[in-house]
Amino acid sequence: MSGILEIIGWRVITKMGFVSSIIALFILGWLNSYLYRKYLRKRNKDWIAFLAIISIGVFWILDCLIYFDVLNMTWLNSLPWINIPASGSGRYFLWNSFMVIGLHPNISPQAGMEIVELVLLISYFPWYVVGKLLGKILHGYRTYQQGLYWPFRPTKTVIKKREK
Amino acid sequence: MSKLVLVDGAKGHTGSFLIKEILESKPNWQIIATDLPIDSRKKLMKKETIFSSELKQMDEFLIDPRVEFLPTDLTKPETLEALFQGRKYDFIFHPASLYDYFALLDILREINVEGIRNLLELIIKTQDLKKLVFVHWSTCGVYGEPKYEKDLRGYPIPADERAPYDPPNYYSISKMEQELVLKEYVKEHELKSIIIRPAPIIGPYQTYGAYHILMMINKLGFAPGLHIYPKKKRLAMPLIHIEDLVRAAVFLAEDERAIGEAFNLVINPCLQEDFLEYLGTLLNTDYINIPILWPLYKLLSKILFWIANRKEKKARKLDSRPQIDLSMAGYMNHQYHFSNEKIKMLGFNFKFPDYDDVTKDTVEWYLGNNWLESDY
Repeated sequence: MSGILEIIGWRVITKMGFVSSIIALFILGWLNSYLYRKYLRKRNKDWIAFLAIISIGVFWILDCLIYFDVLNMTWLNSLPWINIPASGSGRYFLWNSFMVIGLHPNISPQAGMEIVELVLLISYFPWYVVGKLLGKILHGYRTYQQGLYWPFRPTKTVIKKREK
Repeated sequence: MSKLVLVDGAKGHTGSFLIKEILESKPNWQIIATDLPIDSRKKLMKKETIFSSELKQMDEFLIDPRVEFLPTDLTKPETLEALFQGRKYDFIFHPASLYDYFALLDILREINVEGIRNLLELIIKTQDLKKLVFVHWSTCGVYGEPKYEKDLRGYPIPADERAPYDPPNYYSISKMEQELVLKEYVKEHELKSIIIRPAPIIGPYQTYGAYHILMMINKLGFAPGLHIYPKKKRLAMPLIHIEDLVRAAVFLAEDERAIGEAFNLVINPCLQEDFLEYLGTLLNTDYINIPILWPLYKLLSKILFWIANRKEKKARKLDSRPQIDLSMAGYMNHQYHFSNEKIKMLGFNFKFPDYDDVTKDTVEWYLGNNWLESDY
């Protein structure tokens, strides 16, 4: 399974862990908010919900697949600075996903940490929403809005647009 | 009783509303209306079209049989003579001014200060000064930020018409100098005059001034509600609805007690945060409530003012203008809190006395006429 994912270029996505997923979803919420205002709202107003379902759904599914070792993350051991144990590799990876970029806190999942894992997994949704709200403030929500960016646009851009 | 009145700046926002008001409320008044010839006006009043592609003036009133339109230029006295030949006016309403925060002092002085001087010169030579009442449009901006008296809890008491001059920008300086020129003529020639000092005007058909707040909130997509602590530092939002402004001008012109006096024209005191919250509701945007300490707010507003200043300089370099004129940004960190008690004491009733009346009427008009973008 992981081999197939590598082939289709999902290597980056499968490097997600709890914290990296939270960061990625926050940024994705922001980006989706911008895309929605700029391109998607005029096609269908429900795109904001579709994007949220797709984004959070993909991360939840991927992380669950990693957690239950359906996606075997030990293939990352081919990198010299990574050492994922063979047993419980998915869970270990989710706690230590930053080892991919050289940050290895070496957290060993213990019994009872499941509740923290569940809370982190559920928190993907509010973090996505926070990112989306930030995007809304910075870029607007309706097609004619431009958010906080509007008063700070470069003067040259403003003048050019006005002349058009 | 039949009256002959002169309205200058007749194609401007205030002038056109004033003519509409007179036509509707004074069936026996004849109006001589004047403004710049079309080409000169377009050249001078770039701001009217630059901020809104929707500009539509209320020119239709000028074709009423009770209105005679004569194009003139306040800076060219010879063009003004036609207004006074064979006519003795009962009232002269003088809203004509270059209202532009981006304009430099020289041009403001030429139009606003020398303009009123040219007009007054002809008035004293040709008019019956015992009969004539001259109603002059100034601005609350001539006070700048007065030193407010405080109530027992430390909250500022709105400043009345006795506050001294301290104009904070070029436009307000030119309006102060206009008042001083008028006062000279009043003293020397016993001209009967009334000065009205409106707060920022709001209402339909506007493309400059308070309109920018509406446009900005609509573009931002949220109304920023900075709730300042301590509460006594919270900033007021002075406004006046255009209809109340012109109604007040007509009301004062007919009241003998108003002669020689100045009057603030402003709605009942309201706070910026309340205005913005209501504006956000009407524009169907969010309202973000952010409690903030006064020193932090001062610092933030100074940073924003500095950014606005840079943008203005850049725009001047590019021979254009920024999206918000710098002087408007001054409302962020100054307390402009004025009293309307004096005109109320004369018995004037505001049609739009509070911020919610003013805001609702204006926003509904803008949305209804598609002057502000909306999804609906």
